[in-house]
Amino acid sequence: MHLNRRSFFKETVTSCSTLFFSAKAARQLADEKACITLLHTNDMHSQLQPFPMDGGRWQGRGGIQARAALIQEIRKTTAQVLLFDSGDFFQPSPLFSLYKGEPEIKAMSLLRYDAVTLGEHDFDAGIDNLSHQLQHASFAVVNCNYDFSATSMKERVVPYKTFEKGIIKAGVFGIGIDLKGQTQANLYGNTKCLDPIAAANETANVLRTKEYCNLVICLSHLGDKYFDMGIMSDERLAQQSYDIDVILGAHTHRFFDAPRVYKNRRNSDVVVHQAGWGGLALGRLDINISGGGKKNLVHTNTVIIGEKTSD
Amino acid sequence: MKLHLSVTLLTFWVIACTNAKRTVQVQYRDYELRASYRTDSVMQQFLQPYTDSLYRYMHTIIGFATFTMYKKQPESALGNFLADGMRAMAEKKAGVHISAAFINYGGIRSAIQKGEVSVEDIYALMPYNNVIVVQKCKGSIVRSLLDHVAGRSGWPCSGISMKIRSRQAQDIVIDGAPLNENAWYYIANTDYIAGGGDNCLMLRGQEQVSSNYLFSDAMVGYVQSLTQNGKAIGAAVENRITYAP
Repeated sequence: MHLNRRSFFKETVTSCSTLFFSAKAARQLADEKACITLLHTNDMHSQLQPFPMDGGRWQGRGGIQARAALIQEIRKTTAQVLLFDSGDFFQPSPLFSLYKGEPEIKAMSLLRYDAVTLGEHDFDAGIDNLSHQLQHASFAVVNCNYDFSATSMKERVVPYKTFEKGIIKAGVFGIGIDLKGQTQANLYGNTKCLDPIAAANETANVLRTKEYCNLVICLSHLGDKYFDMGIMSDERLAQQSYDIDVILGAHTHRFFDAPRVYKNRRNSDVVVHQAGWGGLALGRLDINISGGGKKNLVHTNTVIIGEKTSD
Repeated sequence: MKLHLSVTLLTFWVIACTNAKRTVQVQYRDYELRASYRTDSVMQQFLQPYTDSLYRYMHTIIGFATFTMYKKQPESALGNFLADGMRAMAEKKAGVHISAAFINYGGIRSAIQKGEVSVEDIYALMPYNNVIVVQKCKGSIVRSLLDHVAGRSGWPCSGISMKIRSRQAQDIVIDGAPLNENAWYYIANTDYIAGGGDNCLMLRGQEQVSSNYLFSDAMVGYVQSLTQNGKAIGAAVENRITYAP
């Protein structure tokens, strides 16, 4: 008992001084700017090859060989990179018809994707096929509003994943579109689609307050926005969120001229971006996180956004 | 105990500091993957066996045509063949009775030449990797779509007959009976049209019951089934769409 108390005392003193040190170190580091580069794609639709030379608008563009070279180049010159995809990496292409997604998942693993979320087309050869192909994945599949507990996807999906890069702790979670009305019911089986806003807010809050993330990223397959405001979208999610910093979108195949910024429920800024489709583009957001000290404890957070002009 | 508490408080303080670091600056840059961009040899090697076997598949002969077929308005053998194949295969896949299938005329980009027909010849007909979307629509929505079809001088369709009078659809027969504006019908379109493309706004937002069948795969399957039954590729021109006198 005595010994136990002594060792408890000793340990406490040690951890206490460690904490003092880390507090100081954290403050020092926090004063410096910390940068993380988010690379992202969406709606690749099994377009691993460049678009065919058929006189079409996109001929010769895209292709996973070129994307691999580009990503490699960026990784060479940039220290802290995360690579994401916001879903619909499958279908429709003859390659998908033949291989049911195996080359897509293997290629994304080769490219060292960090996390992806799911789109409705990823279920196109059935949920069991999706689960089967994901055995080749070296990346995390994140989604927090599909209940997969009664399906073969149960073990394949996590609600979120965190990544520590220097002083940045990034939490990434995924949000999927309501599959009903988007795809055939027998393809997604016993998947239950839950309210995306409630699930997103709950998960983002866990990332902010339990995982202590200073960057909360949502990979969304809702679509950026719709003429019919009643349809769930990234715009609505951003405006009704509390803890999301960045939404990397999909589904609407939009090429953004610049990321959009919305005010959330705390009057903080949420950045929404999307990178076209078919592997025609690679989106990039360089995020500088700075601050520390008491004044940054206020919840309102403003983002200064600008085009990256230099490499 | 006191010490323990202070450690806990300290922990909160550290966390609060850590948590306080927030996004302040975002720089964006989107890369376009242009045709001239260099390629990664590892990825190229990885992809090669897949694309090689895809190439072999594309050059497989799957059927034959006894005459050369071009697209034509308001109706053609090629168009009817495509719409019939789309309807038959989508019905099989979706497991519901499909009353009508449509193909946007502008989407057909090739013809079928007399003789042997390969997978690639079928894929070339509509080279957009479209998927077939089956939607459940009210008769009034179908009428609105058919008015659009009439305004476009007739699209390939299956399961329908109608007349065009001053850019409007008339005498519409669907499922062997006059169109009922209040009845529900399952109809098949490409994802492009079902999503409101070519100004088909009436279809946007209509419930989709199936959307996972690559159009070209459906047509390849249809040709294979024709060949198995000893039939040539084609369809009769049978006054599905005509101009009212």
